[in-house]
Amino acid sequence: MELLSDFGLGLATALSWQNLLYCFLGVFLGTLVGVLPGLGPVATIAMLLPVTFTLGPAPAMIMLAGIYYGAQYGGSTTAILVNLPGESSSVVTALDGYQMARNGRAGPALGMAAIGSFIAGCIATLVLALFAPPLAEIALKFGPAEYFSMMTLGLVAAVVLASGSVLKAVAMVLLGILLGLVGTDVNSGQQRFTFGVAGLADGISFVALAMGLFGLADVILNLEHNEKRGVFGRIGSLLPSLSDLRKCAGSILRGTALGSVLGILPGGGALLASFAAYTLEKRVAKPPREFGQGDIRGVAAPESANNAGAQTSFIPLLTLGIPSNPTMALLIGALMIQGIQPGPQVMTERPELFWGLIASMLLGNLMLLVLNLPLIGLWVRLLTIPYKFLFNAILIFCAIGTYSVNNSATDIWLLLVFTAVGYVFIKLHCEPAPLVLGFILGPMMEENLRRALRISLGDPTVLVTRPLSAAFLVLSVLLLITMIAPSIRAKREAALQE
Amino acid sequence: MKPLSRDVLAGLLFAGAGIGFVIMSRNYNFGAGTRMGPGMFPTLVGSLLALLGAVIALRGLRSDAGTPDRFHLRPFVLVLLAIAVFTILVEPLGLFITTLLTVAVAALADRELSKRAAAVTAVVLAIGSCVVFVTLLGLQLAIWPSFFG
Repeated sequence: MELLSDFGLGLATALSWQNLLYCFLGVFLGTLVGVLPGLGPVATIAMLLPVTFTLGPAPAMIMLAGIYYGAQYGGSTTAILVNLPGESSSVVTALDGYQMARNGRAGPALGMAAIGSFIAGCIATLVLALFAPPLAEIALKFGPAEYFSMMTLGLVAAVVLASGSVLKAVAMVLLGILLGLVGTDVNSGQQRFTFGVAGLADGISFVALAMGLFGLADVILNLEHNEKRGVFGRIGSLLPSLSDLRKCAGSILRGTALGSVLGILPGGGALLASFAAYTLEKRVAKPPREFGQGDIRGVAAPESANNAGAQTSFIPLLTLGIPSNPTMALLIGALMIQGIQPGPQVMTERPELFWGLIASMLLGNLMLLVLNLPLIGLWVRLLTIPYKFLFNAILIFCAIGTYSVNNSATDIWLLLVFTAVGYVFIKLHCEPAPLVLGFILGPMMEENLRRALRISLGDPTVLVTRPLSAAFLVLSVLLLITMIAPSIRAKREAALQE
Repeated sequence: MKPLSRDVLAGLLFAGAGIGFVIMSRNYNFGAGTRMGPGMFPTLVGSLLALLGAVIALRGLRSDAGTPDRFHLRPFVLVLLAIAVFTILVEPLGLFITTLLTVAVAALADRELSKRAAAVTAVVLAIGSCVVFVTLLGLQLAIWPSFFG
């Protein structure tokens, strides 16, 4: 019953008025940016990073986590009412959700999305609470060789799960690793690739990189076209009928299960989970014909999956100290700002932080249910703000946020550079997410490789003679080979297309 | 001449970056197995990137991957310019005036935004960001120019 007492500790932490407030603030902001197309959780968390300096680690993490899973709720509102994904993970929700709105069933679609998200969020949080401790126990036994190989596997998995060309994704990972190495080498004190710029001595600011690639590059993209939005104002009753609920129970559970599994994988998280859940639902649900024409199961499954995926993507972060997506990479940054080295030791050394975060997720999901059902009108009103007003705010906030992390003008110049680079990447169909993961993992990989080689007295075979490390590497190679093999590639493309 | 496909361009970019990192790494000690120098890891990764970039470019030449999506110069240049304005001015002029000027530049990126609406947006954002970020959140930013005392 250790779990219960741990959870009790977490609940005590999460229920302090300060943490409750920040949890609410997080999920509120998350819903807000989720509803707004063109502003995602990555840019928002990056903007708020400087604000967390003054908070303790627990309220900081509780708030930032709330933004991430809160955005999954908000994204569905925009998808259903405007046929635009508020978040990329709500793309598939728009398929059936918008049709439902056109058929005059916007209310039940919104209601079902919120209910599905709530159930999925709670179950996935339990999965997190059950599986993280044993995983952390295993991770504590890892040596540097295991860490290096596991990160390699993580990056390969991120490549496989990225959409678009595999080769380009691998190249993006490598470029990310190299960018991550910029700055002072911790071992020799040598400054690498800084061109003598003092502001680069501590490396490239991750916030500048993330906001450029995910925030402002998208702003430019959105400014290309004059958008036209038609918002469905008439929503009607939010409560789905009993037959809707009965119809969706299976979809919600399948979506939750799939989302929980995919969320753990590197590169997975909420986005992939929602796509996979919709595809699965189309295959197994009977009768399948109604998908794409306003089938409520096409809303319930992906919305459950993306919320479950958002919750379980915390597992690698909290047990291994390894991010599975760009949002988690930012949370690592937030932890380090607080002076906490992310890794398996967090759970034992700071149980109040770990369990407090988990308990806050349950509370946060409850708050989201309230925020999204009775207060739906507020979010709908928000959707009528035209982008021409919004983008100025995004731009100013990104600039202020980037500057404030280190009070460094160099960092805003970097923001400019990565905005430009990010826009070019979009035009060349290169996904930025693998680059970001490489950027975070690159320096860790170098350090672990260096340690592994020092222990083995320079023998590189240590990576393949230690069984666990060898297993990780073999798996990586197998994955890469199967991806490049033409027959499987065709299948993968077909799957990602759907 | 046919425009280059986006894979060729991407491949060349990757290859160039990889080669650049390898060349720069030659200034750093490569080290040996037991003691990896600061140059070893970037040289290995950079070489891999250069190689991969070449492969992507060559495959792009043979297959028809499609040309890059249209590059919209107006929002691109104006957004970058707005960031530059912010960067240069925020320390000497303070957040309030900088925000006004940054929005003045950025607003040009959207043709739909009238001058009046842009002015209102600028003032609202300037006041809002000063109040939220400096007064409420206590970020280390000056609101007014330093010569105002």
